[in-house]
Amino acid sequence: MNLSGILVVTAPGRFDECVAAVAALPAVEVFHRDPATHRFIVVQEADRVDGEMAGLLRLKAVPGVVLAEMVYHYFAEGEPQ
Amino acid sequence: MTSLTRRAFIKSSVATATAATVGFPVSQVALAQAKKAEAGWAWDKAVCRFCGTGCGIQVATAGGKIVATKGDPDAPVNRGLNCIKGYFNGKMAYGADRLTQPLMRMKDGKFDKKGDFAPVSWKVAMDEMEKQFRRAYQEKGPSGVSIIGSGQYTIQEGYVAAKLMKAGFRSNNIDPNARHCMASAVAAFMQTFGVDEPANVYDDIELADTVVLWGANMAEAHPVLWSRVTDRRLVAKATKVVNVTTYRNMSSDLSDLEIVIKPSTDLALQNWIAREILARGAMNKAFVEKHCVFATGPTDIGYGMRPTSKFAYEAEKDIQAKELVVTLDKYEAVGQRRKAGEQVEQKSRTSAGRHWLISFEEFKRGVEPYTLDFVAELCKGDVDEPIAKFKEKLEQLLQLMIDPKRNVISFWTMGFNQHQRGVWVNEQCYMIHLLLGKHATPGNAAFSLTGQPSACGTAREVGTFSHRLPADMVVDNPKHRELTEKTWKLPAKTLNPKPGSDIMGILRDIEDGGVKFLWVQVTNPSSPRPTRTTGSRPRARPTASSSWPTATPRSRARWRTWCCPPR
Repeated sequence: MNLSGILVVTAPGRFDECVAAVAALPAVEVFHRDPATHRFIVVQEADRVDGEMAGLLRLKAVPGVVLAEMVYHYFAEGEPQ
Repeated sequence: MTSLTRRAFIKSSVATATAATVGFPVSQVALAQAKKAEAGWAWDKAVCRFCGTGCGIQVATAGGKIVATKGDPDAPVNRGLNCIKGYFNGKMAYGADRLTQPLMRMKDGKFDKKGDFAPVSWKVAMDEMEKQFRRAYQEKGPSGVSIIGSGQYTIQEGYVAAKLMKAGFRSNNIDPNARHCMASAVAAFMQTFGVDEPANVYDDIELADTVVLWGANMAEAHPVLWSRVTDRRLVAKATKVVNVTTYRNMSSDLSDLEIVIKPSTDLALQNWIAREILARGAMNKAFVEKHCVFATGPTDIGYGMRPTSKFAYEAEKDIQAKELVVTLDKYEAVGQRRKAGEQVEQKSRTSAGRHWLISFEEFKRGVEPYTLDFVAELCKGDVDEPIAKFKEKLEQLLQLMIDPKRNVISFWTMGFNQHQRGVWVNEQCYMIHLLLGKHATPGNAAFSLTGQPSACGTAREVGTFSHRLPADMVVDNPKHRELTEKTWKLPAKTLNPKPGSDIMGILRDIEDGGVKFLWVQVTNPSSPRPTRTTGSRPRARPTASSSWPTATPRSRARWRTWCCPPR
């Protein structure tokens, strides 16, 4: 299981729109939200390394997202790819 | 706990740990749950080695294996954040294609440069290296052997490599990939300040009012530092970000102003800014009079190419043709006070660093031709953008820089450093900041970002450059050699006083047959060079030390062995 804890930062005034767009993405779950600082935390699940990278690029491409970077990488279970 | 429930539990724990790492307020209950998911893990601190930012990471192990990594919230640079490179620090140790034993080109059970890679024992690999090294050393002496090193060395690795070559083999033919990365930045540092390091710190980001990116796509190349710029931009409403770039990129998303220019026209743009600083009375006269002198240097310096076409590929010939004589276009003619079409012999090809003092009046006359009309026509990089709109943007950039109430940081990386005139464009950025008195004070910086984790430590301080000795000393200084000989307990006057070949020199030497043995360490020179031509026709016997199957050993060069030192 590859789980990525990711920090997402949005442009001012686009927080709700970005949260909704990100939440609609497959294999991505939105957890903590901080509208005052335009930041929220998501956890992304992927089977392989290329899926992890593609997932991050997909987050960065969401309109209104100005920053999405990995923070936490969990790969304790299953053979790493 | 079912697998679905456990998965949800772990996801929630990962989210909480992520939030806590980057400073979100998180309840004690949630933190306690996250700790449960990490039961039995041991967290240790580490450093990311993938770029020059200097991020701290934390690595969790359980049962002798890495199970998780995260940014170190206590690290002053990244404050818990990772970019994609730091994120994979743990998992990369387990890649299926990671090398775990030496590979050597073999045919019929023996080493053969035309053979295919086959796994061999360490003894077989080292014995073959020794045999080939002895052959080269006996034939050519110290100048016939070489190491291409790396800004990715640890300090200790770099020190050992430098000592092996300089003290052991009396050869200065060791040079790191850091030469590619930062040579122009270093020359500009030395010529401008006499000291080879940036004058500011990352904490200046939180004090900046204007951030100018000069050919640096920080959003993708320096994402951790970009996160700090982002925070500053979003928190301090007056802060503005300008992206001066040759193409639209991700850094434009946050920027207030995007200025698309033609490649290499940034020099003219900088001259216009300097001209306007003087014309509008924006120069910080007290600062300049106290701390600065005006200087200039030759323009007929060539391009560092071989003047012969012997080894040139098609992609190199347009620049190579200008190595000895340049026919000025209409823009170059204005800058050099000559006529368009005039042929200028490149007489200063071997003395490009020469410079001399000039008066303030001479400096003023030098930038006078760089009017807004001239520079806008030369620089505008988006053909669809109206010239009036482009001029308006230049004016906005100027105001954001010269306003005495605004702190200004300029950031750059390889957009300047690997420029056709990398030294000049670095120096001219210092010129702007020094004219304004906006350098080396809190929130004000002309800031050359680096790209490698230990280019300063291994290339400069422990002496893996071909002209250097440890402790920032140099091989052509008799006192430095004497001190180093004492430190290393060498017989007096035995260190080689002649600087060795730099990295491009080594690659040319192996083409020409001057170098017969090359050991590539912790780098991949076949991949990053613009045309990947030089060094691909070697008459030497190269060996590469790498943990991964990179382009260097696979290239046409037929690199001989391919080793992976265990780490």
